[in-house]
Amino acid sequence: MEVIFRNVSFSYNLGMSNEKKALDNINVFLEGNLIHGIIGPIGSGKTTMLELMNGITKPTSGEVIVGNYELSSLKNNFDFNSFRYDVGLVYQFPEKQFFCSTVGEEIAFSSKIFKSKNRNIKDKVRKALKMVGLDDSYVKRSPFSLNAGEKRRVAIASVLISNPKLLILDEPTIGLDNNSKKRLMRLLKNLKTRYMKTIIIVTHDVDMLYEIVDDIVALNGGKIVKQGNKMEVFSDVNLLEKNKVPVASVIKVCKIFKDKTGLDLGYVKNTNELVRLIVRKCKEKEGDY
Amino acid sequence: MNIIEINNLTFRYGNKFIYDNFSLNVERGTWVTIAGPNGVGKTTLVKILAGLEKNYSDVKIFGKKVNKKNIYGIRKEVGFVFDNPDNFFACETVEDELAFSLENLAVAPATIKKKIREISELLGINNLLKVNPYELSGGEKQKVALGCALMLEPRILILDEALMMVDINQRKELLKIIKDYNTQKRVTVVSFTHDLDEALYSDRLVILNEGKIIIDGAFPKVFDEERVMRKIGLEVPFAVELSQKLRVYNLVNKIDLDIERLVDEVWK
Repeated sequence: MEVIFRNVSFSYNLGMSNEKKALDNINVFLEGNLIHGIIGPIGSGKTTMLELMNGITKPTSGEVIVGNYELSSLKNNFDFNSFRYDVGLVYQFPEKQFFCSTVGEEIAFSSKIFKSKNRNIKDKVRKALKMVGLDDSYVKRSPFSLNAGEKRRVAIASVLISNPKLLILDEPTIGLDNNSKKRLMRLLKNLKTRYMKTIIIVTHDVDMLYEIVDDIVALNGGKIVKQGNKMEVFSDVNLLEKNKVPVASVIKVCKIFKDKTGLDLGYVKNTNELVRLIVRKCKEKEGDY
Repeated sequence: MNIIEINNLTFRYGNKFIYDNFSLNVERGTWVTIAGPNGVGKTTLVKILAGLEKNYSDVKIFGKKVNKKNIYGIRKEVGFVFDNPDNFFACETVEDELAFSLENLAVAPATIKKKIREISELLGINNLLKVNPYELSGGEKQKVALGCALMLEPRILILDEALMMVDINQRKELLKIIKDYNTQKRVTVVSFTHDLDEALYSDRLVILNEGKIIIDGAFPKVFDEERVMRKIGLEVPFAVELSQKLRVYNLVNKIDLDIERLVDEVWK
């Protein structure tokens, strides 16, 4: 499912003395069946973008199009029911919204709201649990007894029950320890490749993002700093740093290495590859290669 | 001198023991980071220190037992910043939110105004004073929550995952500000986190697992236990990971927390 922002601007408190421009004439195209990351410093407009593409708010000007849904005007006849089916939003700390006594009830809740036929709900709950890598034994457990990583996955399952084509996550790894974070990253990759979901992640965890995303939109002050393939975006470290956009650690090391040695390590996927390339350059310097 | 003393604390939720005979002291004027994986009991310990759990005679702050009788006096001098500021805001503007605690202590309005100006400039939130705190981004909310704690001029600052919504660049700036409070104003800082990058600003790192202290030491020596940290699900700072990996190839011989120095060492 594609997402298009065409000349979109958005201001909070429009026309009032405390009017604040959050997005300033941005143009973004997010291709379907990819993982996209939206990054930027505090107040850069990340959350506003997320709210616009989820129909929570309307743009001040311009067009926001998500799949076949035109979200710019949100007229009275807009079919929110099917839109909510197609677009799933996972808020920050989604587990803090739990209120049912079992995981099964928690996951089924949104389906009941959307008046899905009850006979299918049990199957849907099981399927959603499977998608997030949890087995049937969780159905009867209390969501409050789970660890933080499991809670986060249950929260994602409660969005996946409606089988959305587009999944939007706001700071999905926040508050998670390393093990839970890695499991969540594997889950998101799996949702893209196996279940063909389009995933949009808004985060400041750039190291996580660097490992799993395909494309990145970098924002600052409501404007696009750079967008495109992650290699392309992160290749311009100076531009990102100038705009206070956080840069992945491996990229920072590549830049320091280049500044100090004059040698370009090229595109580095992760820490292991970074170490391998540094070792190789050191050996070349010593004449071992 | 110990400003916080926890002696043989036992705490359980139902039948599950979170702490069993747990002891920890924090020396005055130091910054101690207490880290551990999710569910290890970090927030429980913060709540105990804040007097939000039952009275615990085995926990003392400023030499006073944290109980019903003493908690009001203790809280006047301890700034708490919790992980989710949404649970904490009570006012309609950031300015009122910052003023709230001092107003309740009947501080003169002119003093409060001066203090708000000082703190908001320090944290870079002076442009947000008229905004409703609920309209702020997560990172901005956490800055305001930190500001509220600093308004009290606390002798102890207790941070529970207090900066996790702030982006990495601004987090560094805030950590430097807290470090200044710690070194110049001798404010004791106890930060609870699972992000060991944050811990690099502190003097001592205490790692909890299953209700016990499994690592307790200073930097960078404490990272010799990097494997144990990883095993329990903690992410070590990137510089530590890189140092350890380069060490395998004999390109460096010790952990260095400064990437520039690390690259110099590799390329010498």
